[in-house]
Amino acid sequence: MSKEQIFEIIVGNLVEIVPEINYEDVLLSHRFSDLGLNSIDRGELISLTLEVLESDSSRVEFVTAQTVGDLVDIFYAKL
Amino acid sequence: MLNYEPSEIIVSGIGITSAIGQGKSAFISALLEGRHNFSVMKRPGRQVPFNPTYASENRGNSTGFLGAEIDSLQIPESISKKQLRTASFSTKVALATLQEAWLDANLNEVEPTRIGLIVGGSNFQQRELVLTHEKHQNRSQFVQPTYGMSFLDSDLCGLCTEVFNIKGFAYTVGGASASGQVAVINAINAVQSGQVDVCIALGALMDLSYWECQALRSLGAMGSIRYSSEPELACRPFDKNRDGFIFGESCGAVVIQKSDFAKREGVQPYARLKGWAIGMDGNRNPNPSLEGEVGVIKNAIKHSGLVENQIDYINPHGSGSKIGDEIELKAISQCGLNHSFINTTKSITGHGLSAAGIVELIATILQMKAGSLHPCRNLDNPMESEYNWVRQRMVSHSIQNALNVSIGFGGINTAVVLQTV
Repeated sequence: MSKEQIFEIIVGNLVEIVPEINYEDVLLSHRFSDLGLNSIDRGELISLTLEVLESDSSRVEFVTAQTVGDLVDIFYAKL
Repeated sequence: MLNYEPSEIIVSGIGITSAIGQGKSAFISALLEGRHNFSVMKRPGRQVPFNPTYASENRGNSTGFLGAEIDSLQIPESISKKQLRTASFSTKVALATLQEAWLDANLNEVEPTRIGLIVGGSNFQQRELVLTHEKHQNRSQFVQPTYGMSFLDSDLCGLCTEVFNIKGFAYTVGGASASGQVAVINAINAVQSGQVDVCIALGALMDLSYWECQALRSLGAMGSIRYSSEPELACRPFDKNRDGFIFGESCGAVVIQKSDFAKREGVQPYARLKGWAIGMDGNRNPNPSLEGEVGVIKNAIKHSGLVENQIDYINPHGSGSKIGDEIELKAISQCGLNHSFINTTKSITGHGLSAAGIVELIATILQMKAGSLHPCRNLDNPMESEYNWVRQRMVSHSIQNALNVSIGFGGINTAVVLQTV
């Protein structure tokens, strides 16, 4: 799976969690806080993405991600 | 002994969502017309899934659970989609219902720390829990983290306080099918004691799953398969051919305050809450107690300062259960209330369980304002004739003093006396 595909999955989940976000507006450089996500929302995002990717990775490994790009990189490294 | 008259307790706002309509106007119109919404329930998680192992017992539509469901819930646009995403159905309905009561009582003009919220009901999100468990069966690692919040009934309190900026207090109270009235009585106490100036009592929508439906049917409380091919005939409280209660989705909210609390623009009192009582039978089981019911009815009337012959209308519990309806009629007789008009809101709305006590309090108040009593559905052969039944047609009557009764599993009885303003 490419980084672009992971990015699309993450953005799809982001929009599900915060429906007020426009899919097209999300960039790799966006910080989660800039997108209005709190820590609970970030937990939801990680869970939803783990489910789509059917990954059993521990959530602890994702907590350092501050930007959408960070999260894409961590998921990509786990595949 | 008090040397002053305590301020009167009034209802200053109402919100209602039910299977027969959302909002006061739609609700009272449907009640007065006797318009129901009973059918085989369709909401996901309400019917036993097909299991080929037990194919002969499969619950298809012919033997499915009957009830009245809300067709389309209108949620105010002011509530964000993000907030709604992880809200349970009970919470969404509560938000919509509370919004109506909030605007009705103009609570934006009240200091947030002086507003309380008491939610009647416990374990009212059962269907949501079942759907979550089934979705993640054998893959529990993917359950959403927010389930850790939303499985709690008190999540409804949290979200309501966030959306409406309530900062006094908010908590749930459980009293089975009397939960709504328990919330009302607690709200009255909170206002009388000065804990808050305004308290909202909300009867939460009991979101049954097929597990509860099956157990309640097996218990003999919920209607059997007798009327499964004629759902419109199944809900028939106080009729000789009643067959148990029929579920109905509903949620109600009433705003309670003292009559001398700050006047707010556009706010008019709906009714006085004159007397109330709560009592236990000392019995864990579902069976009712004549002594317990007589006790709360007499205590509520005594507390109101009225006498029995001044009660001109009764909104009974009237669930349609075999033994429950029998005992309640005996209690009404023993309390000298055979002269009072009686109808049954549940015959039109279905039984809201945790919400019933407040939904029927609202039905009483709206009939008071309308100057009419709604008809009963399916009261074709009343169990007893010596009561003042409102039957197939609505009756013009200006309610002066009303009695509203709730009864719940576990031996809980409550009664409230209301007076017109």
